[in-house]
Amino acid sequence: MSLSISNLSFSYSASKDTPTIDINHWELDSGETVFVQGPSGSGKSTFLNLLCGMLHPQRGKLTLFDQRLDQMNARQRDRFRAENIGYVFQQFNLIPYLDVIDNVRLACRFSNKKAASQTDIEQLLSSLNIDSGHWHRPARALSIGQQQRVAIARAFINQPKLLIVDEPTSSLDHKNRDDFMSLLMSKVEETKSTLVFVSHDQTLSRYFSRVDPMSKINALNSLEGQG
Amino acid sequence: MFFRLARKSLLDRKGSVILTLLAISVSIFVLLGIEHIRQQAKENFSNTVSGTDLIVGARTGNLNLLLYSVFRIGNAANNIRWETYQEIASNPAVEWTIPIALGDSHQGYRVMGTDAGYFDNFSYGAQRKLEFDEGLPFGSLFDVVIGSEVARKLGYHLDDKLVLSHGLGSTSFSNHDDNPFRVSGILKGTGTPVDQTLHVSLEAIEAIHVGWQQGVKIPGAPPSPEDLDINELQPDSITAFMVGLKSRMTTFRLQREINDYPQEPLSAILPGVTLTELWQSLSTTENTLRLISLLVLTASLLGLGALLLASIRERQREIAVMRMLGASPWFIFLLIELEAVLITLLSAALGAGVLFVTLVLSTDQIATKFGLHIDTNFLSQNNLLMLLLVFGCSLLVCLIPSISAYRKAH
Repeated sequence: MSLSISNLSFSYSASKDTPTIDINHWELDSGETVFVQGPSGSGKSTFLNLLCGMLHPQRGKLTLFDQRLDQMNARQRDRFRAENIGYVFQQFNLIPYLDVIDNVRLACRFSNKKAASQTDIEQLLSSLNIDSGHWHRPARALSIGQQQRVAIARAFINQPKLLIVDEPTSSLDHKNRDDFMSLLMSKVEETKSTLVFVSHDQTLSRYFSRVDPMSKINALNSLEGQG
Repeated sequence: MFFRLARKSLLDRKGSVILTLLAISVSIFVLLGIEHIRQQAKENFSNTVSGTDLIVGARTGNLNLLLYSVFRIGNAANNIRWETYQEIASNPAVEWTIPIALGDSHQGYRVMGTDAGYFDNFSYGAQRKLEFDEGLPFGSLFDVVIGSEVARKLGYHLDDKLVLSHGLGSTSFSNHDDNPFRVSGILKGTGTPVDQTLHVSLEAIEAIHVGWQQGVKIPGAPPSPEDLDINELQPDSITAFMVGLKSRMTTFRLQREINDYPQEPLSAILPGVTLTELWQSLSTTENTLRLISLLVLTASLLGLGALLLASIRERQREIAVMRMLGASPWFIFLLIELEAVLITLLSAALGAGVLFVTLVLSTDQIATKFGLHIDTNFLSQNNLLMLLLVFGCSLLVCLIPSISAYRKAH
């Protein structure tokens, strides 16, 4: 078991009793790839922020790789995230003024794998079809498709156990989207990472071994759905 | 990586960063410059004269007397009769006197008529006597002893000839060109107005004015040096004189006697006391300048704060990315403070560098025009404290954007 959640609830305002997220039980096996699907406003982003420790649940258990994330303090969670979680945003994944190599290296700065060598980074970039001519260009000079591939490289540089990917293809065209997905999935297969992939695009579900609608995960959502 | 991040982020916003940097540089330049010149002026002034117990001139304000007799700034309103000078000089309490006759110049440098005792009795700084770099005190009538700076700037050597001008402008139309002077001695540098002075004997001052009336040359054959009888060149009056006493105990008594002198209205001042008065009268100006430079600094540092605060808004996504990579809010906080320190550091280097160049280029000008000898090394203890203050303030002001970034990261 790589991820397990039970009786977890989170609300943005501590004073109110109206939680945004309420999860009775959710589990993920090691190496499993799950497609979380749901419309905007269904709590996807909040859910991901809880998984990576950016947000702290008010109550409930959140276990990642046998460690209780809900019992860690902010500093420990930052550390845990740096070492165990790779994250790809929808857009704006990179520091615009740093070049490609530095962007990837920045991820090493916060984990204890600080010694990731130049060759490690270069190999990873090559394996993701990023032309070496772009390596020393600032991130903002790259096309969005290229930026998203650099984002995958950065997410993988620390060999994370859990990869979280949030709507990564929404600003890509069809061809770029397919390229991105096949690169991502082959990389996940290669590293045996556990993957949580969030999107509203139903057509992407074919890449995944498991599909969970957000409404199934968040008890609040399902209640609303019934009502 | 931390440093690199701050550096590249600043380079990415070159335009606004450079403008802010220039603003802070200017304020650091002003702050250090004012502080340095203030200290140097104070040091200069208090070193200019020492060992002189009283300075006596025609009745005038204390400051005025001090300024024209010691600093060669401004003019005497009146002269002292020669008999008066003789009488006070022969007072039993008096050990020595130095007569001072002013009114002529040479290429903007003032000429002082005095007697040979000047070179023995005058002292400056920590009781230092005048020393000759080359040559001797004036031996014959048309000999002149020049200060070190006069020699250096005008390129004079021993035995060179020069012509004095009537009045004080650097381009005078009435020259004493009938009687050229010979350089008999060059003094060592003192860092006081002595360096900018040409010294001649009182008799020479009289001699060059023979055949002059009301400051205008009377047409006719000028007297040749051979025609001049040294015994007839007794001056009628002098501008002022310095007094050294046998015992300091008599200073106030003699001062009172001179101030109450029945034959002619005189002023006697204690140079040390008047220097302090001068300094006190300048302290308002000094404090105003200081206040202004601190306000300029505050304005420029607030500009820095505003620049960084505005950048936080643009960089919200960047902060989110760093947080997701595992950066703590502290990291973000320190990153913004580091950017502030880098800008301040560059500004300090630039401001100090420009100040140094300015000082190197202008010390001669300042020395000639104001008689101030400014050291080019401005990194005094006070100024290092000022720089620390600047860094402290910049860190303090940039707490605002840093805390804002910290909050965004939380």
